[in-house]
Amino acid sequence: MDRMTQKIRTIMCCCGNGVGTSLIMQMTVEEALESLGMMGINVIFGPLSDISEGRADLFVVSQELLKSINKLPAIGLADLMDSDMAAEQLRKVLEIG
Amino acid sequence: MAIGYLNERTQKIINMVLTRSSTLSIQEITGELSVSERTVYNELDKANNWLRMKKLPELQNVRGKLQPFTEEEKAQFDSVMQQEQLQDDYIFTPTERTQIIVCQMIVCEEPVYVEDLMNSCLVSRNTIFTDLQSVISRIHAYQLGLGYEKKRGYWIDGDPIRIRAIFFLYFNMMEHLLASGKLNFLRMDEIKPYLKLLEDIERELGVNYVRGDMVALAAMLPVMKRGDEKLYFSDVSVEKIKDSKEYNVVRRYFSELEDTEQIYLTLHFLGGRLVSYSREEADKAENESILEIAKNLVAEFERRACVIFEQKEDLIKNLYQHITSSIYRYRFGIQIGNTMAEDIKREYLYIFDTVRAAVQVLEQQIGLQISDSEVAYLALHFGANLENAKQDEHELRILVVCMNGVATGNMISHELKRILPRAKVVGVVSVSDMVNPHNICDIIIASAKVKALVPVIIVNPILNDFDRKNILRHPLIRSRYGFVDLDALFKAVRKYVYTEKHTEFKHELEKFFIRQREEKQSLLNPNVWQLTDFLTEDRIIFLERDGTKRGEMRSDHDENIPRWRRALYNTSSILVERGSINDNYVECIIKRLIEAGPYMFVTDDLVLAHAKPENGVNHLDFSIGIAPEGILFECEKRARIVFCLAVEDQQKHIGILRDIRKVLAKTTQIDELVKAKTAYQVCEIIRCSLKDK
Repeated sequence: MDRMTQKIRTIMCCCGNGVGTSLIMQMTVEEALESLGMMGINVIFGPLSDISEGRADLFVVSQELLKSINKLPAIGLADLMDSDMAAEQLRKVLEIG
Repeated sequence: MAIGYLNERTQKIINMVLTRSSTLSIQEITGELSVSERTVYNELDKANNWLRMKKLPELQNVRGKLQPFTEEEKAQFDSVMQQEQLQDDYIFTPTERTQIIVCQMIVCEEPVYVEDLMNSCLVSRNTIFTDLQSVISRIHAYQLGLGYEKKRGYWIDGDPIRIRAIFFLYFNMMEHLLASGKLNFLRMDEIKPYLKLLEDIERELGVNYVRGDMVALAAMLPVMKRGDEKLYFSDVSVEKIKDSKEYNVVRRYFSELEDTEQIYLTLHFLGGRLVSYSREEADKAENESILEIAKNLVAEFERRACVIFEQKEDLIKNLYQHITSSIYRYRFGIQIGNTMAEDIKREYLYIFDTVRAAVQVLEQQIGLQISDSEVAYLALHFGANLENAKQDEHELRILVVCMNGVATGNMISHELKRILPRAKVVGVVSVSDMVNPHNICDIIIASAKVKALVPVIIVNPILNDFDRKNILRHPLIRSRYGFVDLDALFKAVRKYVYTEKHTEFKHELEKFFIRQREEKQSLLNPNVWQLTDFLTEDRIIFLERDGTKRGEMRSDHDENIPRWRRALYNTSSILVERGSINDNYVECIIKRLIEAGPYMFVTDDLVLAHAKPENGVNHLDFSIGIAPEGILFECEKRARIVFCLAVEDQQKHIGILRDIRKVLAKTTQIDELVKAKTAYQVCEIIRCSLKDK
């Protein structure tokens, strides 16, 4: 697990405005990480326009916006408030057990 | 009780009467001494016996009120009192009484009855009964109960290991009472031989345990000797314990003990708190993994607290030794509580919290929860070394790192000087030029991803408010400067102050904020609002399937507007009327919804209609449209709740969103909500489910 946390240190949640939906996703992702027992990952949020390489190691957006992110590691959430589902998706990306 | 002398409490009552010129009620005395009325009456009897003996005027109790003495009477007292050498008779505090009661019940061989407790606590029957209540509530926290049978007297009921653990905890807390010989329920004559044996073991093992623990153990030995308690060791690697030299020594000295009791005693020697660590113990590298844990803990603490320990080796060594012995405590629960835990928590909250967080690493590694009291021990180790850590002596040094050119870097540096006037920007470099930055700075602010030994804050090339907040929120910076930027504040308000008063005003401001910081005011708590702060009936509207307000006819001119827009207009009109937003904000929401699709649907049922703060928000607010039949949006999604949120900045609405997550996330919650017939019911439902959480 140590190996993984080193790989992903920052997750950025993004939405169109960067103030509402992304903030909700931030809470969801934080809750999901907690349930996965992952610590030390910084979860930030902001508008889609802030997405750039190096800003974060993984980007989280709503499913509909996933296609707008090119070439960067990203996942799309179908239900922005469902932390269980988010945890499932994160588990895959973080490659935990 | 002998009447040849006055005890402290009796003395106190007489003094209370002596200093009064008016009557003194019994209630006042019970309040002052925190004892029952009965105890006070007992004291009055004692006092009068004594006064009679000394041929002094007695205390006169008239219908629950003690009459004051006359001046002549007081004069008599003065002459007698001076000769009287007052015997010190200690009065136990309620907490001490609770501890005495618990310990007495645990170690006394004979049945314990109220009378016995009265004797050891020196209070009346009623006070004991009150104390027993508090005993019950205290031991309940440790999943223990209080038992009573006529033949058996009182006893503490529950897991024997835990019962003993609470004994060790309380016994430790009463060390000062023990030292002055105030614990009369203990049979010191019986304990002393045991203590001697334990000390022999200590000597043979070549270690030095904390003295109070040894006495406690000696007091516990009679109980262990009886051997009628079934000890169950969960998660026992009993074999490993039996291999230890401690076990062999214990067996030799206490061969008469039951097998499990021998193991129990061994655990205390393995897991006891040592006064000093012997060197060979440290060299024994049998436990690589514990060393690893210690290292990880230090690394995690450094990361979280943003400090670098100078004498890291020492700290790791100390932690290693501490954990080696305490790992038995974690595993077997032979001790609970830490007499200092509360103090440590209160005095070193920041260190404690950081260690608490860092310890999660350890918890994962050994697969056990670690109690706050153990965390407190660890916090002490860190705290001690933190004193030596590099800190605060010099100003905070910041290195700005940017992708390539330094133009943006210079801009960031300029900004930093403004928002952190007291920090020092030591340089602006590009990523490729950065070599060993930890030698020259404490923290890096970078617009590109960099790796460094010091903390890095990643920001946009052009700082936005979010970045600024990120910087100010960073623990390292926060710990130094708090949140308030005095200069910026002053700049903003100076035009409202007479020029000649500027210096004074600034001075005043500084004083205010420094004081505030000292009082640990919630400078760090951003301005956060809750859902309930705004939840009023007039913010709630019911919508028909076509987006019109329930019970209202649709006017002709908006016939062509799509229903979802009509729903938005109707919901947001509440906010426009309140002056929280202007029309532009609504248009921006609609534009975003058309452009970016359904991303504002935070669940299938809930659309969180919002735009950016700069799109026309005057202040934070929200309104809720309830559409039991759902409103079809362009993306084919059907919203049953249209939550229109006026976002004032990046931060203030976070609590509202958190509440939304709590009460509007699940389909079942929405099902419940749309059943409401009135706005009042909606408010009630939301409020109730928030309260339940």
